[in-house]
Amino acid sequence: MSAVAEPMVAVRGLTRTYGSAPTTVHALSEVSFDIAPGELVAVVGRSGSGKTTLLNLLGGLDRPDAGTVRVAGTEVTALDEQGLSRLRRDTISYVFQTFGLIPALTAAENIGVPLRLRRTPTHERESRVALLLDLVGLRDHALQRPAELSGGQQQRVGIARALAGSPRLLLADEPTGQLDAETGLAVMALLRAVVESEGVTAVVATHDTVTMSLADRVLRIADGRVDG
Amino acid sequence: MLTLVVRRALVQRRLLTAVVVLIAVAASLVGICSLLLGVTADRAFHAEIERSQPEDVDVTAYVVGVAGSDAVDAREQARSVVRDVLAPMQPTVTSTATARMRRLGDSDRLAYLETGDDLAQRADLTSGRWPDDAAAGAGEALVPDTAARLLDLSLGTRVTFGTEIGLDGVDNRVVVVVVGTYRPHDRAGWETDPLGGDGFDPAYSDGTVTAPAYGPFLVGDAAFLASGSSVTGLRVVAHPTLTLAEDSSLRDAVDSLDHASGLLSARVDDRARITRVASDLSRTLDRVHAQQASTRAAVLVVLLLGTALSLAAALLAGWLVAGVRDDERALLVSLGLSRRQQVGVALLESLLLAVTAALLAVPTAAVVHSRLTHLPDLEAAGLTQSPSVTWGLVVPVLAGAVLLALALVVTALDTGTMRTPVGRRRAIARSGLDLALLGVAGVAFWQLRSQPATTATPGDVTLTVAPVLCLAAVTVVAVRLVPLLLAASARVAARSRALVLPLAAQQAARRSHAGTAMVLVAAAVAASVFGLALRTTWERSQDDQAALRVGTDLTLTLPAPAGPREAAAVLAATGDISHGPVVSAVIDRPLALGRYVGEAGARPVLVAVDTRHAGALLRGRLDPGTTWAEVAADLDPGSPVDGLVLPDAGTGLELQGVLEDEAPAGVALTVQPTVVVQDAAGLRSAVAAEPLPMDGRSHPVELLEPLGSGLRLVGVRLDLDGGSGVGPGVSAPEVSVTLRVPGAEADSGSSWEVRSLGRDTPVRGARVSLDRTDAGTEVRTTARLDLTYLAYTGAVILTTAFAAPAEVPVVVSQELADVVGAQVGEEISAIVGSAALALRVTAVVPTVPSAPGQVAVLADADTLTRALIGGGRLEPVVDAWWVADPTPQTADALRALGIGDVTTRQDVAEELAQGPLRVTVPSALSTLVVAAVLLLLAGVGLVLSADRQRRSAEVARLRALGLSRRDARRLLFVEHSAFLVPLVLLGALVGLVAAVLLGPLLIRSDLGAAPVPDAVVAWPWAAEGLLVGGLLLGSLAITAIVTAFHVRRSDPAHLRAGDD
Repeated sequence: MSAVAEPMVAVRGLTRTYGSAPTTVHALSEVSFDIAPGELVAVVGRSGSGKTTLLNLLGGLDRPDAGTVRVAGTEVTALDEQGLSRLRRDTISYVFQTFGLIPALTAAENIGVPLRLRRTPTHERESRVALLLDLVGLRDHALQRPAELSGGQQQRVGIARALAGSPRLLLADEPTGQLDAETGLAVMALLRAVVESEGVTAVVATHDTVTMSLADRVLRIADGRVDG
Repeated sequence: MLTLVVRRALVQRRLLTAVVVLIAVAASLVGICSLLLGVTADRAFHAEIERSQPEDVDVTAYVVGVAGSDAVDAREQARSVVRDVLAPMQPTVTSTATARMRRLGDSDRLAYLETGDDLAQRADLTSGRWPDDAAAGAGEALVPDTAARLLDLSLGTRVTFGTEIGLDGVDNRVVVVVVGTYRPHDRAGWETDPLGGDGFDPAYSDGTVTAPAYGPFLVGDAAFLASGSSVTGLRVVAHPTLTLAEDSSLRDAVDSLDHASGLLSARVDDRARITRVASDLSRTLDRVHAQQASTRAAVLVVLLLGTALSLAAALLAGWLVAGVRDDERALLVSLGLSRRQQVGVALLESLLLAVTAALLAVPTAAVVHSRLTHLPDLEAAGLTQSPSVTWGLVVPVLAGAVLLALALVVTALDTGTMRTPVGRRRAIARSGLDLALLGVAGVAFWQLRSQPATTATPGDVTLTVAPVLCLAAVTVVAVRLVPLLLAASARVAARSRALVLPLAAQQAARRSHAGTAMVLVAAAVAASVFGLALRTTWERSQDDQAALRVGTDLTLTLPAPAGPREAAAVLAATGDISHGPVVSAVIDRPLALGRYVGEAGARPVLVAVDTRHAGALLRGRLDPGTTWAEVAADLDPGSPVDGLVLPDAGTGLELQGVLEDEAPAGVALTVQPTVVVQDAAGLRSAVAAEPLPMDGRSHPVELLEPLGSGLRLVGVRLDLDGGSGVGPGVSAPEVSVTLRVPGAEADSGSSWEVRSLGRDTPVRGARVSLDRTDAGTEVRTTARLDLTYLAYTGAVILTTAFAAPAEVPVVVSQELADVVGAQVGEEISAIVGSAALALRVTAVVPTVPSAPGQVAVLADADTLTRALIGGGRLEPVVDAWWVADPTPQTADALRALGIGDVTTRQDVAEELAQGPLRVTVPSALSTLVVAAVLLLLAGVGLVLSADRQRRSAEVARLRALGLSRRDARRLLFVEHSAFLVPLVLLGALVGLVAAVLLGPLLIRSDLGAAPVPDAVVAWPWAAEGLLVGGLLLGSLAITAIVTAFHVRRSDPAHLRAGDD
């Protein structure tokens, strides 16, 4: 009997509603799916279809009305505030639509933020940051601050930061939403490449067809339900 | 447009409410200061004027030498002139007329009449009743107690006045009947009396006649005029109704005074020898105006500093609002909103906010101002006011609110403010601005330092603007250090492997657009620290000025030099010498130093006190490490003068004059002894006796004034006369004069000195011996007397129980040292009265007690009187008494004596610090402290709120990256603290430096001149520590609260619709 690999993400009966009757919005209704380790999954759907809600629930940023989410064997929905912080620090990382870099820090310092959160020794942190800068092609921009970088470069820094802590699950919400098509493609290609090289599981919310083409699997979300 | 403004305001009501409250607080400060400068200043002016002493505001006309027939008209003319000067203030006019001295009956003794309509205020009835002017028969008169006793007058006694003395004296006889006796109510009011209110002078002299004089005999107006007496002095005093005194009416009165003397002279014409109108009103008004200017400057400093802080806070609020509306503005601009429309919207909103804030600020300012005037000091000064809304409040509050609200317009249009980093060009411009600001601060400081020491109106502007410029400029430049400091801290913190500390330091160091916030926080702290230190420095200076102005704790200043009676009364009032407070008779009078006599109103002054008690007695700040006891140690007169104990009242004194050799035929010599006595306190005075024949027999000494008890004989002056008819060639016979003091026992070893006084004296070989007898002690003075010269010059021999010092050691003021060029060890020749003295400088002090800033010398009273008596000056010299550490009962007892003005250091200090025109200063400075603290806390709130608005998403993202809630709070708290704490400390440092450099320069005396002694910084360390500590804790508390709120509102769950 062959051992079945445990999914990286296991979602069961996930339900999330906003507001109260009669204007209740069912963002997610009884959603269930699994995501295997190392898989790059694209979550697609129209605006307001529930993509961001799903990612927030996966990352423990929001709590469901019903259902469970398990990430790397940990039931996210059962964690307390401290547990969630630890989960986000050690297991999950984010790539934000608007890059989310800290303006006061340089590119290298921004990448080093998750490592500092883990109190990684300095030399280890610096070598990891250097590696990631190489990985995203920004070695020459290490000391520049976000305001001095282009949108694509900022998002590459964002991806490097997301990978800095060696997460097991990377959540990206419209990572190319603020970028032009060409830059967006380059960023997604980079994301695809680093996910593979780092062995990270990635969930990318998008409505970009190029992104969908780079994904291992596409989860379509409509009217609060997931298909795929 | 209005719809947009209103709807947006409804949506952003919390933010705008905070802005309105901020503007209302600032506008309230403007309103409070306006009220302090307006109604309170007016009230203070009236209160100060109403507290004025009569001599400060009265207008007095003097008419000297009027014939009895012209007296009525001259008096009416004088009344008319002085009444006209003070006409708007409905003056009360009183007059006093003093008649020329007349012979008392046919005797050589003199007496005089006086009438006046203010007698009841000047004299206390001690027996009988006031004269009835309508009574039939002889005029009724009130007699001084002293004169009644010496003349043996009782109620009902008829007194006949004979011929007037002097040229053209009236020759009629006047009879009055005594109906009562009186005692002068106070020496004040009797300055122009020929006998100074004493009632008796044993040797009154008008230049033509010297004789005992008595009076004045107070009679009614009709009796006085009926006497036909010549009027030697007519004094008409107009006292204004002070409640009607306005600044304008007082200025008009001062202007009128310039012409009043001329007018009176023209009206009286040649019917009087001298006419003059005098008043201290001009000086009083100048003093009041100087105090007003000084106080106004202090309040304006508060107003300007408060407004500057408020403006910074308003700008900060404006940028906060602009930041919140950035997206909305970008949208509206993209939809075609023109710049003019933007201005219109911003203006409309600003005006609405200003009006709203003003509606809150007007009643707030009125109430707070009213409460301020109910503070104990202001209440005591009579400045209490109920809340009231006047245009004088509404207009400045509205103007202040509009000005501050306009900051919202400026920030609304400054599109680069919130987002653009500081460019190189802007940095260069800012550096240039910094340099310019430092230049401005330097010029302002130089202006303050260069203020004239005397009263100067331009100083008002300097006092107001310079400190604000200095404080603002230095703060603006100094806060530039904070980012550098934080950057250095961030570099150090970056070595940490954790996130919180390095990120907090980095965020604090690279905080964008923090200039206004930094200036606001640092300036508010600096203003509060400066305000607190300036207040205590100001109060300390008032104490120092009072100490030096009074010179001791209590002074009793006499209108004329004191005699034994006053001395006895003071001794009785101050209690036991050995156990009571330290009391010193004081000689305080002008003197000439060589050829230097000073300027009008600034004569050199001699102050002589009992320097054995200098340490306890003298007040006034000396150089650090020096005490008055040390300074005065070289002035110590040495061993006390013992003399001979006199029997009570001097009874039993006998004198025997003997011409030892055979006298030429027909020669009769007389001797008039004057005894110099010393009381228990060491005060020396002289009492003359009737002349006695030198006939070889003992005669009782008949003193012209009664002696008290407990006195010692310390000197005898013998005025020898006679020798007429002696031809040339007669030899100089030896004479001896023996004064027998019953019961006295000379101390063994006591030696007396003898000298003859005067140039070309006929006295040869004078010597003195003390012989003890069974009955007492004899002071025997022997000399050869050249009778040929005696007939022309007379002879004076002085014997004393002490050696007259060849020179009087003195401590001199720095002013004197500068003017005369005197140095320690040098000798200065001085003239005190008519006595020439040699003074030897033993020390130089900044200033002599009671003579602040004057050319003055401090001497020992004992040494000085020895020198004066040794030079033959026996007239009274004591001008005052000084008392150290008096009890309230002592002060009351001395006041009750009514012999002079009692002034206490505490009273003067209170007057300087808490007078109506002065008390506003500390209150205004306290208001500055409170306002600065409020604005600081509001500023901190705004700084943190602005940051929260800007960085909410950032914190949420950090939370999403795994930053725990606790670490997020730590991060923000450390970051904000790292930003605020250095600013608070820097502000405190700026405030302390400003207090050191500017504080003393801002303090002026009540006369508007530089204070004497110079003001020195007084640190209320405990209060300052509490203030800075409180500000730090307050700032950190607000930081903790806002941080907690920030983190709660930045939950990663709020990262929706992307990540914002």
